[in-house]
This record gives sequence, structure tokens and C-alpha cells, in this order.
Amino acid sequence: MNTENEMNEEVRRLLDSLEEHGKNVRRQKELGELIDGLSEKELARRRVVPLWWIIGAAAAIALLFWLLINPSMKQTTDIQQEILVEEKRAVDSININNEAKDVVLEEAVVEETLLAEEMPQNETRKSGLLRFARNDETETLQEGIVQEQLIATDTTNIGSNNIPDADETPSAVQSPKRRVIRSLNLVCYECQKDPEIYTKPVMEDKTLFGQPQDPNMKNGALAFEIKLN
Amino acid sequence: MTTEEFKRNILRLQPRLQRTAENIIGDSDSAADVVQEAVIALWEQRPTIKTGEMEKLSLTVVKRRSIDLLRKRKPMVPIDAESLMLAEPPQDDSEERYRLARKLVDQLPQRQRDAILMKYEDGLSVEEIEKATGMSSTHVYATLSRAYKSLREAIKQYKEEQ
Repeated sequence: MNTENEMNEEVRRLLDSLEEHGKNVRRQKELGELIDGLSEKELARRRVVPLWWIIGAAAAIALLFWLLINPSMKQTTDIQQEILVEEKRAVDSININNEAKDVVLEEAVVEETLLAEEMPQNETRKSGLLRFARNDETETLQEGIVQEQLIATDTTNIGSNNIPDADETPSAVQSPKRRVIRSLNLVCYECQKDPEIYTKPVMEDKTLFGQPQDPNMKNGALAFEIKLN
Repeated sequence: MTTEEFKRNILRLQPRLQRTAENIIGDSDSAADVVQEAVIALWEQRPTIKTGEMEKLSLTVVKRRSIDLLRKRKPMVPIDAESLMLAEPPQDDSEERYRLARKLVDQLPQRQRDAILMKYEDGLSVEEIEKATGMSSTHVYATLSRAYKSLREAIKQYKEEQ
């Protein structure tokens, strides 16, 4: 009985060793598969890493381009602003030229007016009104009615030197207010900036309002007179 | 260490690692899980492991993880971790015993041998053996019973020869 039990124990141990061996074989197989899986995962990761490098490099290049382009965009706006300033200057210079032309035109009108003025002065001299003819604007205003009548009579003799009314002068028609103001100032300060258009006059005489007057123009009083009329 | 080297070393060391873990935990399935976790941890460290260090390092990792598992299972029981770490795995005579078992089993008749190997080495159930061999369950049990009897006789004869 004892021997039989021992034999049974021996058989059990043998079968256990068989079982253990079989289990170990299966575990080794599992471990082999596990290692293969880990290896494949690592290989996949290795394949992905260069992709990340490429993406990172592309992002860095894009950032670099953005950094390079952004200041040039600023430069563009600076250039645009410069262009705007230049345009403004050009427009201003054109305006100055136009105003200079207006001044020349005004000078012509003033000359005509002065010629017309001399005629009634001769007449008034004959009629004893000489003292009023050479007086300033206030005196001229006092005698305005008489002078108007005389001017009206003599304009036929003058021919083309008709005295235009304030509303009829070219610059007055265009912008009477501006003309009067400029005539009162007597000096086109913007024109003075360009010596070719305007030669600076000797400002010894004063206007009615105490401003320096160009002795060559003498249109302040006349312009004032025309405006008042 | 290359992947092939690592795999070769682990498969060579697997029985020893399994025994070490089983010796600490006392459960072969949990020991197998611990060995798998240890292999994954060693795989992470693979580039820094030298071939000569593999055995010692793998045994240390398996021991530590086995002790950790034991602590999780029995948190209130004091564990002498130091002695467990220093303890050597039991003497490995499994290979010899397996060789003897296989020698004796191979002497059995074909059907008995197949039934024993399927049940113990391959770990198949009786139902699986039925499907694999086409025998009925009664026939499988009878074949196994005859195989045990034949093995007893074979062991007896082997001992007498010794």
C-alpha cells in the first residue's frame, strides 16, 4: 500500500513536471509575442519620430517666414504713408500754383481797376473833388456814390478796361470771400515760399488795418472797396 | 542590447524567473503576470542593459515586483523583503524530471501517450481532447486511467533498473 502510494506520488510528480514544462513553453511563447509586440511598437514610434521632426522643422520655417514677412508689411505701410504724404505735398503745390495764378489774375484786375480809377480822379480834379480822389478807403467810401457815377460815365471811354464789380471779377466769382481776405492780407504768404512765383515786396507801407502792404500791388484798399460796394 | 539578444535571454531565463516569482508569491499564474510586467520594465531599460547583467537584473526586478504584489495582497502581514530578495530560487531539477517524464511517457502506447501529453503538457481539457482526437469523454478518461497505470509500471521498472 505504501509502495503504491509512493508510486502514485512518483507518477503525480512526473505529470506535474510535464504540466509545468508545458506551461513554461506556453509562457515563453507569450513572452516572445510580448517582446515582438514591444519591438513593433518601438519601430512604429521610430517611424513617427522623424515625422514629428519634419512637422517641427516646417513649423519653424513657417515661423521664420512670418517673422521675416511681418516687418516688410510694416515697411509697406510706411511706404504707403510716405506716398500719401507725397501726394498731399503734390496737391498742396498744385494749389499753390493755382493760387499764384489767381494772384497774377488779381494783379491784372487791380491794374485795370487802377486805370479806371485814374479817370474819375481827373474828372473829380476838374470838379474840385481832387482831395478825395487820392485819399484812403474811408474817404473813398464817403465819395463812393460820386465816383461810381463818374466811373460809370468814363467806362465807355476806357473801352476794354471796364471796371468789374466785386461779383464779376474772375477770382471773386470763384471765391469772393477768399479773394477779399487775401486782398486784405495783401501778401500771399504761401506764394512767398516760391520765389519764382512771388518776389518778396518791400513792406514799408501799411494797410488800413496796420498790415504790411506791397507798394506794387495796392489792391488792399481797392479790394476792400469793391467788397464793400 | 538588440531585440533578438533581449528575446533570447528572456526566453532562456523564463523558467528561472517563473520559479523565483512563484517561490515568493506562491501562485503560478500571478507569478507569470509578474514575469510579464518585469519583461516590459526591462524592455524599457533595454538600451542601457549589458548582456552580462541581464540575468541578475531580471531576477532583481522579478523579486521586487513579486514582493510588491505580496504587499498589495497582504498589507497587514509583515514581509521580510530583505530575506526574500536575498533568497535564491529553489534548485532547478525540473529539466531533469521533465526529461525522465518525457522518456517514460514516450514508452506508452500511442493513444495513451497522446492523451497524457495533451492533458498535461499542452494543458487541454477533456472536452478539448475529445474534439482533438475524436474520442468520447468516457474513452478519454479510460485512456488516461490506463496511461497512469502504465506509467506506474514504467517508473517501477525504471527504479529497478537504477
